[in-house]
Amino acid sequence: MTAATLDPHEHHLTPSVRRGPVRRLLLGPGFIRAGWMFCLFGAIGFGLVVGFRWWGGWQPLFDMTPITLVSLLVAGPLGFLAGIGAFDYWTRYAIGSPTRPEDHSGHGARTWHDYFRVNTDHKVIGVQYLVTTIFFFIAGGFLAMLVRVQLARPGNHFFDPQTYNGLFSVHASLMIFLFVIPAFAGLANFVVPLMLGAPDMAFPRLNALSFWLLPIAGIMMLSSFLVPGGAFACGWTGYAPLCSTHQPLGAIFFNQGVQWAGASSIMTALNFLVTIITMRAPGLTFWRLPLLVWANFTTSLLVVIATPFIAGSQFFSMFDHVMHTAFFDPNNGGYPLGYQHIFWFYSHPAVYIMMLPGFGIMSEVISVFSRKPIFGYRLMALSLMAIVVLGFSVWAHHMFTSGMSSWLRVPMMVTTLLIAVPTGIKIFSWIATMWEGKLHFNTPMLFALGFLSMFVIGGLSGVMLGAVPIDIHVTDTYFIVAHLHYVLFGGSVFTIFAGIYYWFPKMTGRMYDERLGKLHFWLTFVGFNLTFFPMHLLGTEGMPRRVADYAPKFADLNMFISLASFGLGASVLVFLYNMITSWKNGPIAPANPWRALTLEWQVSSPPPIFNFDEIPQVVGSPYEYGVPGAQHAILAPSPTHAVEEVAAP
Amino acid sequence: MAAAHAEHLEHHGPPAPHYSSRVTPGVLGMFLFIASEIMLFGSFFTAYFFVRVVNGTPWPTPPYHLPVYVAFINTCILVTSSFSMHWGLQSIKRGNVWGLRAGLLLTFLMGLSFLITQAIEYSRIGFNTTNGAFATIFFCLTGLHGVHVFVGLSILGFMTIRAFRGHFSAEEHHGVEIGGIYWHFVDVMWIVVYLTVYIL
Amino acid sequence: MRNPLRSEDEAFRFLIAAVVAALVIAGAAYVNTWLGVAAAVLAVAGILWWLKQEPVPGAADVPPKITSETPPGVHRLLVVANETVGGAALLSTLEGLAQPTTELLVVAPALTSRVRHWASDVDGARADAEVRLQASVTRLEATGLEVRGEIGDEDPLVAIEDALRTFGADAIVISTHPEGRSNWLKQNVVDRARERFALPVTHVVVDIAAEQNQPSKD
Repeated sequence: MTAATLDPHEHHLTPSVRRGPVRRLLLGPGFIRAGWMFCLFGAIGFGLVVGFRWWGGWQPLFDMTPITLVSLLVAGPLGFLAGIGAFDYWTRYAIGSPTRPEDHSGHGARTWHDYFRVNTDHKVIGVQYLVTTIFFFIAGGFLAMLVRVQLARPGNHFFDPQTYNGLFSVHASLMIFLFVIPAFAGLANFVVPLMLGAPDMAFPRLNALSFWLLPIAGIMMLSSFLVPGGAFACGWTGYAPLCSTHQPLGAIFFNQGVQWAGASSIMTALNFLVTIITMRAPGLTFWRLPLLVWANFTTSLLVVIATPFIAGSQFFSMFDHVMHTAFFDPNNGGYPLGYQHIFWFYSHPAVYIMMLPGFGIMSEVISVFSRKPIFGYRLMALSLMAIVVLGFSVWAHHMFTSGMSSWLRVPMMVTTLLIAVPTGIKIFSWIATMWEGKLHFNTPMLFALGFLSMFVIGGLSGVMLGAVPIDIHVTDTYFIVAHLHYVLFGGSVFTIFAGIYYWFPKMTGRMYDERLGKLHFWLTFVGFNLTFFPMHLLGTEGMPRRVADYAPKFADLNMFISLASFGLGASVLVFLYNMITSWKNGPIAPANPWRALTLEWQVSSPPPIFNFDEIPQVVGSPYEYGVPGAQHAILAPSPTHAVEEVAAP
Repeated sequence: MAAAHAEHLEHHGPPAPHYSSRVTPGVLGMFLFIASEIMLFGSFFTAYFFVRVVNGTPWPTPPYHLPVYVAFINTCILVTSSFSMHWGLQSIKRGNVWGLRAGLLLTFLMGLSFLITQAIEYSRIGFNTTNGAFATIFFCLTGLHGVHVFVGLSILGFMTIRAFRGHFSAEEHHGVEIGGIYWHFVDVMWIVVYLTVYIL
Repeated sequence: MRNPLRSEDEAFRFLIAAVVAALVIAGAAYVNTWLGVAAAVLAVAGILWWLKQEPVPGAADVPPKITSETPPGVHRLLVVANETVGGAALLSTLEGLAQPTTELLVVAPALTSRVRHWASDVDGARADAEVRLQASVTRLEATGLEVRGEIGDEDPLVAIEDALRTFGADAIVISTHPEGRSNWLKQNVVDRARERFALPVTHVVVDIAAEQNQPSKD
């Protein structure tokens, strides 16, 4: 076969690029082309802004704020994306050049190089997401360590207040937009098509583009530290009018970073919705979907509907800053509180976006390691939908002390307390799943158990906060910091770790080291509780949040918390070491080390490049552990009983 | 041997996916995307609500005026362009390639004239984004819509190029269908923007 | 409410509806701004009503039927029965349909009440179905036929489809209580099976009460 002598990738490239290696390096999709296209597009953006300002007669001609915005934060990244090849196929299609839809040259990973380019394979994209998000987890965590250094003693001057404010602002932004939300997207990207019995997602090229938007967003947020005036410093919430005017250049890095991350999130959610609705295997009805798929389906609904609102809020804030509009300028007819309403209308569903996929992971892990079907499967799915619906009705519980119309408070309190009900159904369901099960306490299960206890604590403090009088007392104190970390770290992050350990053998083909995994869990669990539990007390005693210094009476607790947090930070090193060494040298993993029933475990570890040789047929529920003779799916149709669909006569 | 075998499988590609719904993925994707864009417009309309209803800003704020009649002509142009779009799609469903080409070209030209008219009105309107909340909402709502028209024109441009290169047929015209849905969304959205900003 | 917007045609009709509504609203607003707002609210309600009664494209299409194959020389019968699974009428029908090489698969869907269905509480139903299944498998084996039994999904049509994927069949036999006492007949299971599957479907009515002089529970 002649292909044996040619580079298999070159085989599929159009003739114009099949020239010398230097031309290919400069003109073929990749980081070098991305580099010069970034500069080219940035220059065009610069020209557009200057030209427009000259035509309109606005002074100064070279105002750095709009120039940075258009050139560095919009045009440049578009050039980068074009350069690495995210738009190549679509461009050829759009200008009418011949394309081959069955061109799979961009698909799959044979060497580590394939993970660093635009790849249409959902399994590769999933790993790209996970590695990228873990990088930003470490970056965000490092910022948290710096915060705790500053707060170890009252009167510390490691950082001036403005820089300190930038530390916790970027910490939160990275953790929310560059870690929790996309890490779940990455895990789901890998697992969902396999669970559905599909060869890939509905829109693989869009999937690839969604991933590459993410490093852009993260670099934007991190690089805000380097611009004159420093990083954006109003918290990740960025309330107007403080943060929409009189802010340094770094503020627009946040505004834009959110847009890129939000776009990535919406595209991925669209992809999941279309895939789950249109590409299920034969026999896979909605009521036979694994709960991970249900969770990602409901999360994607949330993302598609809610995320545009944070895009809107950041547009308005940015326009007030750059174009001197009056969205939130009370002297000019603006309505400052509007920012909070629009912002929280997304950001409350955002916390469900950050939790629901974790609930799905928990259902998988807990049923497999209890060897029992999920208790109350239909109610679990319905409670996910209830959370989606109710989640849109509670946003103003973040605004009880904002000065909004007081009549809004009690209804929001009622809906907030209500939303604890479907969540509670799920907690009891997981406990009932484990009841009289045969429990296996390996690392994913330990994180699942840790999640159950920590999320309940976070949920309890949440219910307390739902009550207006308590909220008024502890708003903007460390009580809030404690609550949010219990639900986001003890909740979401624990489920992310559980998912990574659980699917590690499937993704890498190797087993992680179980002892190191358990060590990681215990260090994390202990460190986490020692760090964040005392914050409840700090809050009720009156220590405000987002402060670089505090009253001496809080000194002892803060020192204790800081020391504990360094331990928590160190625990991440155990995780990293385990991941890296296991991926390189771990024992080869079998196809189904956990003896699970869902479809991803019925193929090899890692799965074949196109997942299945033939689409499997689903004949039962995915949770029938312990039921003799139960099957979830059959993979190869037996020649003795092929099933076909024939047109009705 | 393993590498050649792997390549052999590659050239066979993935198994044909099983479609579990009667709606095609592309069309469903476009409708969901439109849902998210409606929510984006929703956030802008929320800002409009805060400025106009909650704050009670007079509309339009004196001494500014809105070019209601020019915008009405523009509205008619855009609605007509949707008709030509629909006619183009109906033509290719019957195999009429030149009908498609004419329809797409007309739609593109009408869309372009809408955008140019809008730009001219912006320059002649007598106020800019720094002139208070009314001006802000005006420029941002119509501007957001204008950006969507621009995207729609790009899509139309691609469809027109491909139509003239003979890519569409009575059996295969998915690209036009999806682009057509987007263009109708742009049109409906303009009607809502026009009503809330210029008329009500 | 099923979403009728599934193609460009519906999007275009939606646009026309929007244009008409806009004209109404503009007219009302010309008179009075608040009248225009009221007209807008009514228009939105009107459009939602219109969406609700707009036919969903493709909904009226007949979905393809499911069939299955078995290897030559093998005759497989799929029997779907629950409480009637031990009935004499069913047994005699099966003996009539069976050939020397027939393999029987008896599928007993695990029926539950509505509440238990939504709580996914199927264990009791499975256990009951298992007991009944065992009894009938034993009785059928006594006639010399090759018989296997399985508990199936609660929905008998889904249970049939699952069995076709795992077992394959040449014909389906559905056994129900008499009309008036059968939930399956109320749900039209036999007719829907005939529409859904391109295999011969035989319906057997088993009157357990008459056969055993005991009240039946459905």
